[in-house]
Amino acid sequence: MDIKKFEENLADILDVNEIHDDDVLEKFDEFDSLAILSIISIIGTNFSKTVSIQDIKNAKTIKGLKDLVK
Amino acid sequence: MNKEYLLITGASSGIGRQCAIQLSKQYNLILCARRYDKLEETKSMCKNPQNHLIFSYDLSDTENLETSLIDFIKINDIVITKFLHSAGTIGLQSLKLVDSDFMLNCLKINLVSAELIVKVLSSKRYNQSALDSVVFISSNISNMGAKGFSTYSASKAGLDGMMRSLAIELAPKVRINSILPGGMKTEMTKDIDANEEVSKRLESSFPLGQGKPQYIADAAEFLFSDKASWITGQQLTVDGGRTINISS
Ligand SMILES: NC(=O)c1ccc[n+]([C@@H]2O[C@H](COP(=O)([O-])OP(=O)(O)OC[C@H]3O[C@@H](n4cnc5c(N)ncnc54)[C@H](OP(=O)(O)O)[C@@H]3O)[C@@H](O)[C@H]2O)c1
Repeated sequence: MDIKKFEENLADILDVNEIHDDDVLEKFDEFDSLAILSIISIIGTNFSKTVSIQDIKNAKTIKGLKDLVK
Repeated sequence: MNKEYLLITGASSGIGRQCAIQLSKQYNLILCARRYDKLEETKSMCKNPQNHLIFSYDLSDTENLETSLIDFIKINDIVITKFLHSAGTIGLQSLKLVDSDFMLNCLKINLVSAELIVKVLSSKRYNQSALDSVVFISSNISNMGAKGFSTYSASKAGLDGMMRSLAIELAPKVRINSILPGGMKTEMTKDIDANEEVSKRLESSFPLGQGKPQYIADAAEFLFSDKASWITGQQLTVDGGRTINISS
């Protein structure tokens, strides 16, 4: 999966039209425990990386999430 | 807030049409099915026909369903607050003749389309998170069994399983329930009814006598109303007592 598709998936999960690198995850209404599990699943399936709930929380921003899959 | 609508799939016939007629007294409707002329007919049978919209779509095309519905909402500049899924195909087939195309077609119409529609309607981006209540027309076979119904009952049991999980995932914003009708005369069952012997036997198995679409529409009206405001994730069987009848 390329980074653009990953961004589209994140926008779907967060239910917003667009996302920006400096957007803070906690500020999204839809950023809840299910959103975190969905992001972990996308990263696991498409980037063959295992990340934890804490990794996602620590990422803090959209850029942080993108760094996780680099 | 944009004008609010209740979306009914399967509105061109049978239970869906009857639900449209009754629900049109309270709600603006979007009537969905494949046959445009039959949807026009339903519309003319509704209260305030001019208030209702038609969304002619083949729900077996699940690939394009989300974008088509999103476009429909956008073009009409509306929000959809309620959703009734009555579209269905019976898929009565002996196991010997079941193949994957047959199964997938039934599952797409009865099950997959319902979840994709709930997905669009519960979204903030496409529908302003306006959805507040959903009713699926399942079947009393969902918790039972019958010869030739393996695919159909899988689709309805699947629908009810999905209903319960979505009821949790979307609470407290959205209530989701299923109605499980017993067999009744509509277009869907005309082949079964055509067999006089089977039809007679079926008739005698309903303790409260034969059913009609109105009984299902009455239950749908209740589930959409504020009177059901603490009810979610439930299967409401409306089958004249058929499935609890164990007398020989
Ligand atoms: N009648 C019964 O005995 C009974 C019992 C238990 C449960 N149910 C359930 O009740 C619901 C309504 O059934 P009914 O008895 O009212 O049957 P019906 O009169 O045959 O109505 C079925 C509806 O589904 C629509 N539909 C079928 N395939 C579709 C597709 N590919 N795309 C869009 N719409 C489609 C039909 O419209 P178009 O053909 O115009 O597309 C029609 O409006 C179904 O879910 C059924 O499983 C019925």
